Amino acid sequence: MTELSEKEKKIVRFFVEREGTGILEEIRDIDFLEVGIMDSLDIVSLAVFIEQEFGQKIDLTNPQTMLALRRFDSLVALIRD
Amino acid sequence: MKIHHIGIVTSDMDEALTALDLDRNNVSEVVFDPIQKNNLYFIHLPENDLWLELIEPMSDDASTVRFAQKNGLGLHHLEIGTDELEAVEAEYQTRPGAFVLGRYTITVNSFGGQIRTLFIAVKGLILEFVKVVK
Repeated sequence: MTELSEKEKKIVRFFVEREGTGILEEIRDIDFLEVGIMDSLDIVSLAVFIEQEFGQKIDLTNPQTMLALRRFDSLVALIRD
Repeated sequence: MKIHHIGIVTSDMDEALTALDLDRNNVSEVVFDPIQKNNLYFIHLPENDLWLELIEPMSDDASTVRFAQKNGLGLHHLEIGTDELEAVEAEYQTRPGAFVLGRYTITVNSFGGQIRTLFIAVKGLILEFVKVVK
C-alpha cells in the first residue's frame, strides 16, 4: 500500500479494527458492501466514526454519499480536509 | 414515548414465526414495500398492545438483505408513533451520533391506512417514527 495521508490513516483504522490488518492488502480495490464487510448498520457506525474523527456529519439519505461510502478512495474524497 | 411496533428481520419467515411461537394464522396483513423491496408481515400482540413487523427481504438489493444475510433472524428497529415527524427529524439531525436513514410513505391498513415513516439511526439503534396520514 502506498504511503497514507493522516486522513487516510484514520479511515484505515476504522476498517483494521473490524477486519484486521489483512484488509490493507485490498482496501483500495473492494466494494465494502459487495464483499460483505459492511451492512447498513456498519454504514451508520462509519458515519458515527467520521463525525467523531472529522467533525463532519454526512447525509445518509443522499444516494451519491451512500455510493461514496462503499469504496476507500471515494470515502476519503467525501471527507473534507 | 409509546412503542408502536418492533421490527424483526428474517431470511426465513417460518423460522421467525416458530422462534416467536407464532404461525401464519397470527399474521393479520402482508404488505410488499416496493421501495425497500421487503415483504412486511404484521402481527398484533393484544397482551402488549403492540405490533410485530416481520421483515423479509425479497431481492438482492432490498434494504434489509445484508442484515438478513448476516444475522438470519434479528431485532432490527423500534417504531414510535408521533404526529410531529418534521420536528422529530429536525431534533435528531442535530444530535451527535444520530443519522437520518430515510423517509417513506406506505399503506398499512393494520396501522390505520397511509403512513409516513422516518428512519433514524442513533449509533447501533434504529428508530422508526411513524405518522398515520389517513
